[in-house]
Amino acid sequence: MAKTKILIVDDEENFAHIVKINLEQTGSFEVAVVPEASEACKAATVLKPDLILLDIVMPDKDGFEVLKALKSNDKTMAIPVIMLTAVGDDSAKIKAAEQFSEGYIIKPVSTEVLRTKIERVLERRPS
Amino acid sequence: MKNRPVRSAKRKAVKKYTPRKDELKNLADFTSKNPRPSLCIGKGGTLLYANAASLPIISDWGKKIGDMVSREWGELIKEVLVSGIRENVEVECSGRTYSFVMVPVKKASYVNMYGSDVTERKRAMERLTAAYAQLQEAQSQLVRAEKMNVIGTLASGIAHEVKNPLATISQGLEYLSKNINSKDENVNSILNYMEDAVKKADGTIRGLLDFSRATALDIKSENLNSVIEESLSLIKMQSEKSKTTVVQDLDKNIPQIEIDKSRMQQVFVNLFLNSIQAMPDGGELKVKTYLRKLVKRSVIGVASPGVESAIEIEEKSIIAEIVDTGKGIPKGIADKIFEPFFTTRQGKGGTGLGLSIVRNILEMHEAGIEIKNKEGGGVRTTVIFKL
Repeated sequence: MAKTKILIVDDEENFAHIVKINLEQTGSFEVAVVPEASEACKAATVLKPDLILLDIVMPDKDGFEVLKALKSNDKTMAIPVIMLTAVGDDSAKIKAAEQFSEGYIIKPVSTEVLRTKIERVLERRPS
Repeated sequence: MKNRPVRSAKRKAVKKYTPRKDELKNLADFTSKNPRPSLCIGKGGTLLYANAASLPIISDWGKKIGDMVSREWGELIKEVLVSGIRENVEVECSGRTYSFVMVPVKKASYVNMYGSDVTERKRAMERLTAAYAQLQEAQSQLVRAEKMNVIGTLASGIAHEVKNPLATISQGLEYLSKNINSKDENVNSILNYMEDAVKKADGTIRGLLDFSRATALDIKSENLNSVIEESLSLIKMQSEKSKTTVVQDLDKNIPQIEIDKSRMQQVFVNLFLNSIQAMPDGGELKVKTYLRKLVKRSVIGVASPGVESAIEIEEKSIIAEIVDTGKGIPKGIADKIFEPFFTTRQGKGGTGLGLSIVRNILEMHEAGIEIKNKEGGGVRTTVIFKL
């Protein structure tokens, strides 16, 4: 069975790499990490992931800007995006939902929770 | 000088001055027609003189000229005569307040009392004091709001900076727990301790964010009983685990109130968990709601100049009462329980933010809270919502 391709966009590289290891260890995922927000759209176009885990606060570009760019590009708009962030404000959650993100997870998070949420989002995706 | 009395040895004889009858009458009128009350009380407590303006006062005392004043007044008269020092006293009479200065006349062994009606001044002073208290309250609320604003900004900044490394540690620990195949039992224990520490730090950060969150309330008309029932269902697992019997006595007739449901659930969940944690060997958690009516006489404004109209206002409140059979609040900490980061559960998962969050949320709803030890053990928590 083909593995689910995940793209993590997060400037916290250590975190992203451990998440990559933990998710890949489950045997169901193949994970790529992009630490620069400005590279996210390009990476999404090239890698064509099944789902993107996107941080919000990043030094070069805001996660919401990346989300907007992804959702307004024909090549990436269908890729589900889950915000994976330390920001827990309601206003951020609302903004993410308004910009059509498919989920919102607040760090820290266990791999089990992460995996379940990814699977639920992908199940909802129109085939 | 024209009016200066002149003493001269050359004058042969000084004619003794005898006031004329009309002069004497005028002098007497000067006191008796004075619109301010004047009294004269003898050493033994006999009421020697009272002018017309003071008649309502002595009639209120049930006295007339020649009568003995009360024992308290008699003693005060004696004291003033002995000391020879003027004394100021206030007298209440038929809803008015008079201020008297007591002037001892030692030679004649009596005390003259000169009064003035200070009712309006006193009421104005009371209104001023109340207005000042309101102003102080408003000012402290402003300062508090400003502080919360600063704490909020600081907290969200800290939260982001701390939660990211916590997320890394948490994911790392998860990997290590799954992948270290050590025979040393300490390795697994230490990894577990570290995971607990990460969860505690995350809990503190979340609590700090909750405490400082200055977001607007999502106010809707809600039934408090439903909020309480839903909050009880959220702590069902903990209450069952700790063998706590939950008793509900919720008044179905309480009216709807304007609250933020989820924030209020947070209040009750915190209060219920506090009670459960105070009963580690089980006990009873009783939750009661009822409507309280208070009839309060209150001055509401000025009907016409100098005349204030007082009406009876019925103050209604919805009360939620939580009573447990736990160990009660330890001595000496009652005034600290609402302070942020004050906890009696250090090392047991307590962040010390629960009650400060509760108070914060209730203050935002203009609701009150009182937590007191109950006679015979346990704690009674009363949450008051004004209608």
